Amino acid sequence: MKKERLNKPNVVFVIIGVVIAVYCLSLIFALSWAFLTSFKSRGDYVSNPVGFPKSFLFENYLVGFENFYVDVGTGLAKSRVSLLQMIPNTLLYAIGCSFFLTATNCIVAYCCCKFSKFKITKVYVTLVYVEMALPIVGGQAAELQLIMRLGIYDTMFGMWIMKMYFAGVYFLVFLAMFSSIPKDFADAGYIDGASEFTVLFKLMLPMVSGTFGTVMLIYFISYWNDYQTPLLYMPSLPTLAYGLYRYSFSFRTQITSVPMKMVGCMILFLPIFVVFICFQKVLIGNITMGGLKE
Amino acid sequence: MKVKLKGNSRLMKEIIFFTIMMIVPTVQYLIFGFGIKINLITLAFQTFNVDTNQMEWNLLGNFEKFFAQYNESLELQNSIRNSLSLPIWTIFLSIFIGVFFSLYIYKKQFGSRAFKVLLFMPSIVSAIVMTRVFSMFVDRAYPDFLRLTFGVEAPLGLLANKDTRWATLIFYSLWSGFGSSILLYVGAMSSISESLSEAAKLDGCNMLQESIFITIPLIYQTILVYITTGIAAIFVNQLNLYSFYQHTASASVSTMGYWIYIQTLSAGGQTQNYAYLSAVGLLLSCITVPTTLIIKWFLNKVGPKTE
Repeated sequence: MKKERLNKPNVVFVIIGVVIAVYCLSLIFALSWAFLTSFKSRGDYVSNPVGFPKSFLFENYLVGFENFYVDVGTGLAKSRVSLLQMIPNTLLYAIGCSFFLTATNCIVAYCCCKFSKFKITKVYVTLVYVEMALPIVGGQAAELQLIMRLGIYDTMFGMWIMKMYFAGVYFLVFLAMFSSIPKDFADAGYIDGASEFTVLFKLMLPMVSGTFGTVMLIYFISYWNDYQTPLLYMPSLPTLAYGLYRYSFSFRTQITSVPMKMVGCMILFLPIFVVFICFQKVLIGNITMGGLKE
Repeated sequence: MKVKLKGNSRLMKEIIFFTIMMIVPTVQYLIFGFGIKINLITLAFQTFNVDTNQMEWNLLGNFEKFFAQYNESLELQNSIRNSLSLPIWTIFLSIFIGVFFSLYIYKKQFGSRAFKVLLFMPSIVSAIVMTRVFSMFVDRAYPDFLRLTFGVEAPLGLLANKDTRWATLIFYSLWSGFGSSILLYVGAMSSISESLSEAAKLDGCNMLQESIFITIPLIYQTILVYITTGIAAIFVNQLNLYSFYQHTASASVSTMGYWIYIQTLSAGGQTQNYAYLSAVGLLLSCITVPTTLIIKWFLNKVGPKTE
């Protein structure tokens, strides 16, 4: 049900609206500036750093693609990972990690909701709150040492295993979703002879598929954009974000100019911007955590 | 008897299903959640003995090294000071602005639908893209613009200039930091019963009064989550320094999150380095855990009651 708008504008809300408008304009300006600058020549940029390009140099993107690579390894084991090779790394990392993280959150939330009569489920729920409220500082060093010992350092499989982690905020989202589904659906399934697995995979998961998809999309965008985790945990499997990091700080003459740096940024930004435009209603509309209120 | 047997059989199936579905997440948590914490604690109390070439138990070695380094290192002193001062900007000011932005969208004021989409944008843009765009603009385009338009001689970029660097970093943190938090505030506000809003209007409340005395108290727990998770992360916040500067951030703007990340990257797989960093992490956790709990207790005590 739509909420009514008040007819009389409130001065404070007018001021807030102006501030939001200025903020949004600054975001649009920054990204538009980056996009337009990516088409400038070096000379065009020097004489006109903030204006429109004199001519649109699409070949900047060809140079950007050619120079978008990462050298991994050292000595004789050194090899070059090109942009095309980073794409499967990025997809495996983003899709794999987002799927396993979302699925783990979802399944554990379902079990905690469905089997709340088992006292151990309270332990899992408490752990989630504790982990959210009290993160341990400096755990990366201990984590790195542990995964090196387990032999899963610098592997995609290792990253997926590390992401099968249930103690995240979306556990609470799924817990709320499953709590709101009437027990009658599952009971009807049991009467028809369905097993627990059938009830979960054929009845319950389809009911939360919208939220599952949205949470997975949110995680996908986060992992697509993340460069510090691949840099630390899988340095020889660079993703596009890691590639952009290397590209941005590179001193190669072909890509030292500001327009060429912006080309690198657009190579990473534009695909995710298209995904956002296509799915923005799903992303923004479907998360109904409802917040925490008394 | 038959009913009891059937009931036991049902319970057994439930236990089997629960065990199968929960075994992987449980083992994963025991290794990567609980196990890492145990590893961190055990590493913190070990140091490398150069004579025996082995790691040995040493209760205070790493902590003494840290305090000695703290006394000598301006970077470490600044990192701790900066991390402790960050919450004022990155938590309280950010939440203050975020809540009022959310109120505007919740009240469906002019342009709120477009603003909702645009405010979410920073969440989808990679930190490395945002920081590169921002730094190229403030450190290259802006000084070039000043030089060309106003004839300013050799202007410094906002991040390059030590007088404006810290303020620019804080501004960037606020500028890029909205997004999903606004959605969550709006989501929390949307679950408030309309009857409360209508009752407020009948009592003569204007929109602002309704927002301050009804809406904000009712989403106080959501705000509290952001405050407590922000406080818990004060020594984790890098302030995007690695994205701006790689290893070369000035000591005056360093934070503990940045310092720890740089040290972890340059640890080179050496257990003694990981042991030292684990000790630093444990020490900082001993500060953040009780601080977070105390602040949460205090804010719950003084916060608005919805009765």
